Amino acid sequence: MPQELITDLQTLFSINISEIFRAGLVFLTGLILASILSRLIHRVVKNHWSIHQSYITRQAVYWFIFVLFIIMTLRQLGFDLSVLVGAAGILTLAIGFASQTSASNIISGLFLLGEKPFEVGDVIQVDGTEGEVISIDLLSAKIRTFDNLFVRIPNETLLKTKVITNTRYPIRRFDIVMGVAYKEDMQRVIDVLMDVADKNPICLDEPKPLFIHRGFGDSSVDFQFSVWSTRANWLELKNSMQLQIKEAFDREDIEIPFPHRTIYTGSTTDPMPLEIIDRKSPG
Amino acid sequence: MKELPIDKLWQALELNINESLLITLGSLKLVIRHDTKEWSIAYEWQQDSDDEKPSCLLGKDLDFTEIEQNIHRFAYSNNTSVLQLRPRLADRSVVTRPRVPFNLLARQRTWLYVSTPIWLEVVIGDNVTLKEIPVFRPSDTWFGSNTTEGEIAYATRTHARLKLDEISFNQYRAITPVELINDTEKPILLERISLPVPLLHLYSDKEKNLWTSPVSIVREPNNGTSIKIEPNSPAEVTQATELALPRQSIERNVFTRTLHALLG
Repeated sequence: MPQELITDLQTLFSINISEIFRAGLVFLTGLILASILSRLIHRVVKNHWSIHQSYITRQAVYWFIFVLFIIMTLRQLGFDLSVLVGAAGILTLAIGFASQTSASNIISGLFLLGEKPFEVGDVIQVDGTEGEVISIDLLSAKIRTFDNLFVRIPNETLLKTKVITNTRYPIRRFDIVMGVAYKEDMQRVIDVLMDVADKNPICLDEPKPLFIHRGFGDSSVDFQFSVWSTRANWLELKNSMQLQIKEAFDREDIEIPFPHRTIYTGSTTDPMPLEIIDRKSPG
Repeated sequence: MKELPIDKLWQALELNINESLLITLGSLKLVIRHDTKEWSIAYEWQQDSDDEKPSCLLGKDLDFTEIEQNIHRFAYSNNTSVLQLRPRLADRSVVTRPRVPFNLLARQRTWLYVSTPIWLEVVIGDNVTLKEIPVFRPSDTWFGSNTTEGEIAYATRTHARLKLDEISFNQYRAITPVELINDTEKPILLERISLPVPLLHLYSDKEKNLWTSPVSIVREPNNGTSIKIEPNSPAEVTQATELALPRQSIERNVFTRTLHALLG
């Protein structure tokens, strides 16, 4: 009876032990070949392409060979793949509708791969988030913010919105916007600022520091003083320049005014009358 | 404490355990100390001390505490007391601006002498470098036709002396003779020169003054600029001794800088 049952089962599924063994061999071969070939190609391309591109290539090669050998395994087992093709068509339609967003992210990722607005290691600002790019994957990019948060940004968002790459160019400008009191001699202020910039070794000599008069504010004469540094020194420049300008202004007695209002009694020459009342004494 | 003659600055000396060396060179104040299995370096740049006479003091237990920044310690278990200071040229190009820009007329050539600060390489034992320190920290600058392409360099000011006898020599600046050739039909205003200092040799003359390989810069008729570096000591130098090789080598001694602002 058992032998008859096995024979019936074999007849039902049109398979035998040797075919299972062959299928298993094909599957294992595919697994090993996919792994070896993908690593080989990764080793070849990693010195020529970016980390992101070589990673995507490795994954694509692996899955392509693996799926190929899965199909070969199924054929070896005697499955009629034409049925699968029909089912796959219907499945694709269903999945297509369901995964529009994912497909958009994948395609956006491919566009980003070609355009390369940023790479792993760059610092970017997108949608109010600023941080270092730690990976760029099929569906999204991963960012580590400076306060050590993990942020996942879909590739579609990266393609559709403005992305600022802080680390694209080797030098960067820092703008100091401030004001001094109206009583100050502006040429003296400019001289003091230029002297501070000149003495700061990480402040680039060129491009030259730039002074821009921004206008006459309510409480101060407003200006912008722009200085440059290497990308790596930008934070140190930001801190050191502001501290040194404050020290220099204190030393040179240049006032950075608080917001204030001047009240006139209707004439600039008559003083305003003032009476001090002692609250403790009666009357 | 004993004072060492400054003209023997580049020679190897013995710094035994618990001894320190204090060097004042330009605005640099450098202290090197040898302890058991350890070497320490402390340095600072002092403001407005360029005219101070260079000095070298050797003694026991020289005080480190005056120097609060730039203290480095090196663990080194090999038994050696040999210390040498070697002069090196800058590790980047140096962009030098004449204090007063001048014009080089059409089809004219001139020589000018540009000085750049040197770096001190602190070496112990069998050629083990502890640190390189500039005698003063020059300002960073950017050399390029725009803010996206170019290189980081150092910036110095120069009097751009045209006459050799107007040069003031000292032990911490190296003089580069620069030949400027204007091969165009128009005068060029010389506002700045970028010297490829890492490609130059460093020499000393019999008076222990420091020199580099001479450089020729040609502004060509097509407004390109080519630069030629002579691999030998300058003609102005008698009894030249080579102190340091270039930091970087070039395959040929003539090359064209694609940056149009080599001469600006």
